[in-house]
Amino acid sequence: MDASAAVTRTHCPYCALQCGMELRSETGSNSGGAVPLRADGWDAFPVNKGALCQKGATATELLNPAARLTTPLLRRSRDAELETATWDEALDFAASRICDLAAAHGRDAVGIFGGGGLTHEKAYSLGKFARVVLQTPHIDYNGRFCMSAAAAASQRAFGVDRGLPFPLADVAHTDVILLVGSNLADTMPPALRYFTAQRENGGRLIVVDPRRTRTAEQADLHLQPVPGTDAALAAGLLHVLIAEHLVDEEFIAARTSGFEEVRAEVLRWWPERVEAVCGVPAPDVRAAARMFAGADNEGGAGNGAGAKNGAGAKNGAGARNGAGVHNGAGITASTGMVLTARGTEQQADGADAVNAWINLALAAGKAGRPYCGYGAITGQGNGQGGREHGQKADQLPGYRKITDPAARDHVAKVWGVPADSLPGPGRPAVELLAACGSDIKALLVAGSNPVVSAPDASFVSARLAALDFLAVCDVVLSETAALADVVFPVTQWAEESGTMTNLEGRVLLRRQAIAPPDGVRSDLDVLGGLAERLGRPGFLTSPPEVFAELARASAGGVADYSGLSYERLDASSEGAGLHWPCPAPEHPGTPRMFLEAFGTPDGRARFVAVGHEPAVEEPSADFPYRLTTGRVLAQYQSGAQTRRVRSLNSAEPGAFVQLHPDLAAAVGVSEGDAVRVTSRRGSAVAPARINDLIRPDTVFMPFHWAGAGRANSVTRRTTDPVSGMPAFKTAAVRVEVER
Amino acid sequence: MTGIGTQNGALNGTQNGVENGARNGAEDGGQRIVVAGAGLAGHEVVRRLLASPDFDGSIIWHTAEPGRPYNRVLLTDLIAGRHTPDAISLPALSDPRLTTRRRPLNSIAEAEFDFLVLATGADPVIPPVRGNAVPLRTLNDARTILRALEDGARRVAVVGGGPLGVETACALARRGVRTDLVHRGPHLLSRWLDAESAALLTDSLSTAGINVRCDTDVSAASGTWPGADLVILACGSRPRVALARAAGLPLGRGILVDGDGRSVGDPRVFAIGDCAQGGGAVGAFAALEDARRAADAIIRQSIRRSPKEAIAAPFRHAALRLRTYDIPGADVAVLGPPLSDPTIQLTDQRRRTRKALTLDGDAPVAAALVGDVRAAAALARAIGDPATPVPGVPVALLTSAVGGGAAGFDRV
Repeated sequence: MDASAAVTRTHCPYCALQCGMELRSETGSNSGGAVPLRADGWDAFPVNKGALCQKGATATELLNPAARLTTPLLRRSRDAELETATWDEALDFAASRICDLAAAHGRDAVGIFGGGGLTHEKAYSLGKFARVVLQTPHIDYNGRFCMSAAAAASQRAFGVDRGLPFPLADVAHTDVILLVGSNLADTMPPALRYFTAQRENGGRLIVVDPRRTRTAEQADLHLQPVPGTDAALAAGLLHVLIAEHLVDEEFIAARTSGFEEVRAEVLRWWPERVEAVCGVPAPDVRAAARMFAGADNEGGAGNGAGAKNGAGAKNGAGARNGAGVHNGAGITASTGMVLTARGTEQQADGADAVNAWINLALAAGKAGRPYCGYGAITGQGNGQGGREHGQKADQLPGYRKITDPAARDHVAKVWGVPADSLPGPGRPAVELLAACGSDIKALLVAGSNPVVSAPDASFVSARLAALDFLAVCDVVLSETAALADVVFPVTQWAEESGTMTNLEGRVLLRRQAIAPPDGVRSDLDVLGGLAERLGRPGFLTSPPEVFAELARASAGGVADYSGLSYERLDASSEGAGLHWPCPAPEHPGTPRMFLEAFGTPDGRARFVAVGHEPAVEEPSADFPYRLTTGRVLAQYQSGAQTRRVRSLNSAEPGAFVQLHPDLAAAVGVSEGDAVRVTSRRGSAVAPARINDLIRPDTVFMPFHWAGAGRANSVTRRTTDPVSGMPAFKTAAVRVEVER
Repeated sequence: MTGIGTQNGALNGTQNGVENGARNGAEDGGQRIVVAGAGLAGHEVVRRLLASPDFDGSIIWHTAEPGRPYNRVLLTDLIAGRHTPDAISLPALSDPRLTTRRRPLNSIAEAEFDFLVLATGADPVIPPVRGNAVPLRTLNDARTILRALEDGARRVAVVGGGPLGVETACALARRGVRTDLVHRGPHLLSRWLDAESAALLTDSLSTAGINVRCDTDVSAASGTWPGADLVILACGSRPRVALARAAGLPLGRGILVDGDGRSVGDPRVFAIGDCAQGGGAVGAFAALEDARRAADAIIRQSIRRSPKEAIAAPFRHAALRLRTYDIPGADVAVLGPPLSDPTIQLTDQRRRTRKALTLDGDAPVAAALVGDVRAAAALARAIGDPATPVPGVPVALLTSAVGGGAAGFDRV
């Protein structure tokens, strides 16, 4: 309550909410000086309003110097162990290896693999380093595993990709939310308040998830499809809207294009067919469509089909609507949102599935209006910003296409290089990792742990091990860092300044609260040091300077940051940040997009005609069940950070296999037994958690762990042809007791 | 289950004497495919071939009906007022490899192909009924019926208490038309349901204002239905096999095919959908499934490598799944073969629901649901796929939407 100088307002190191935090010195309780700071919620920050989840509240534990890397590590030959080294030794070694391998195999033999948790300054600098210093096309990042499908779908539909086109708080004021493949009650608990408030305001929540998660428990209607069949389910809902005259013809005519092709496609998906493909009862498909359209409560609370009790009273209200002909009054006035997350996106048809959900929102007229729209629940801390400024293989800063001559000219001018010196598009993440050891000889990894987080992780580990040179920048010795030839110990959130863009497109300033331990430097220093050694001195390493350059590079792009600066972000209504696009210093930012027009050249949103094909890997006699993967409350992503936090790790110490009692009985598994889950790629072993919150034909594993319980040993490398997203969420498996 | 996805299937096919046509075609610059018919099955096989990255042939597509191909399943939706007749078209297929001929295929002997897919559908059975009687098989039929309704037909008789008859009666009732449903057999859906289930269904239809008359043969009596302004004929269908007969292909009721949908008399000829007679189910689900299998078989044979990943297994669908337009209590699902000798029966006389399940040991083999069909999807899987886990207390299969004993039945 007193010395405000001792309080630093900043943002959480974990997920895309980027909750506001106040960091204070741990005075008095200097128990060995282990953790120098305490984290509290920052009451005035509009996203979390003072709330923190267990992960955020304990984040400061990793600031303990003993918990993190504080010195570079070097493997002097491939057979040697990692040893401590000086910064000069590590940088000299890395630069000479990169130089030698590029000379021997060409510049294209060097690649960069970044991360969605990195600040803008780091992500942007990695992209610039790849194109200007290494002059390689090959840079991509783990956001490809996270946001790529939603990003591709949003661009197709809206011409712009921003996670939420509205502030998260708007969720509380919409009539109906259709939440697809998100367990945000566990993955981003501080967001749940807005969904709870929405229901307290009289709104309804529909959740689509193969599991009855804590989030699904909140729902008025829970649809439990077979994993990987979402596009068919979405088509079925839209089929019902069309059949029952619940589409918003006026909106479709005025603000969209492409509806006729979509109509023809979804008329192939009548609810009984959807039932057969998705395993969702046709009455529930109809109930969901009516609820989403706001057309299910005429004549009172008659509609109980599948709602809450799940008992399936008949289609009460729907049956009373004459020939399904609604008069339309009160329907278009209702508001609604469609929100997707990894469950529907991390599929072999991820982008198509997202477009199928977007089609539904557009047809119902629930987009481009207040309290309406489609949004992706972004995952990683800077999952949004990390995909905007050149960390992707096909992209330049400002969400520009690297193939666009005007974009190349603009960015080359900012970078002071000839436009024709910029490489073209490189390989997306899964391809980039698969090429390691063959076309790619040297790889620099920053802010990512693909040995745990990449699909078909045994394969990926083998590819990384086959590299001639691997360098990793990380805070801790992750499983990927353990394979490296050089490990650079880099600064983390409270030890540095940087900017992030959260799931709402809100650009935030993370303020430094503490000096980094001796021996630790920023990723920007690593790049600067390497650039100097590779003949490009003067690479910017000061975060505000890097941001200023980023802002100029983004000017005129889709994600235009040119009106933003550290000064503005610092001053913005008590540090609440500003929403992009923000194209001028006096521009107020854009909290709500698309109210006037969508981001396409003609301002109309696009329907995208997408169908559904069965997953390429369907269950078979040898692999008769489906594995789907996900997250738990107490761990984050590959677990490199959270597995090192005591209280989190005691809450969720290891992987597990969730399975239905009927499946457990069929394969002879009892609670706690070690279960082996095997696919065509490999297997994972973890204790059984038996409950009826999951489909009997599907098992679930969280993916946060390495070793025997590594779920990604089982997942597949197959990617969505549109976005490059791996099909994490569906693998055909067998399930056995491990003896 | 089926041999789909195994290399053996492809090898066997080749050994069965396909290599001449197929391989020659491939050397000439791709497979020459001829598809006859533009219903769901014909459209689906063309769509799948064109969508496959492994298909490098060309397709000649004979469409017999005028206008764009449409989704026949939705004809009753037109009666219910859910769509307009020009709005049920299937997605347009255009591709340089596709040539559409808006006329029927005249003769198999005159066609040049490496593979021929017959998707010629079925003709309605027309009993000797006098008066204003129309079948409901094509879009034109539906237009005729709609015109009669718009011209003031106030009382309509539906002749035939099979799936199409019940669906049509429900669509008419939903539209607010006074409807008689006249059936020759002892009870509705007599090929599918037992008398007790059918009685509950009849009660529900009656409550919705549909006048159900069983044991009544319209053609044998007066030859028409008294008081009806319009008679809709839903008396079943007969596979359209003229082309196959002329070519000497083996016929039963339909064109006899193997598990891939290949004529048992000529491995270059596939028959799919309603014109075919295999071992399996009938109707739209079966037609789509047939089309998928035929397209996979053609593609398997035209590529000389095994697929990179296993080809998708067939999905498990209901044998009969009525579309009854929210008429309370009229939902029907039949899973597996027609129900006989049910092991478990749950009947709720007040809510008019009945769920019956036949077990072989603990394995579910057939089920019928009337009035409450939320368990249909999970039952279809449990019956169709032996790997699907089933609850220790099988009655739970009748009470859960996703399968599994989660609905309050204690495990033993």
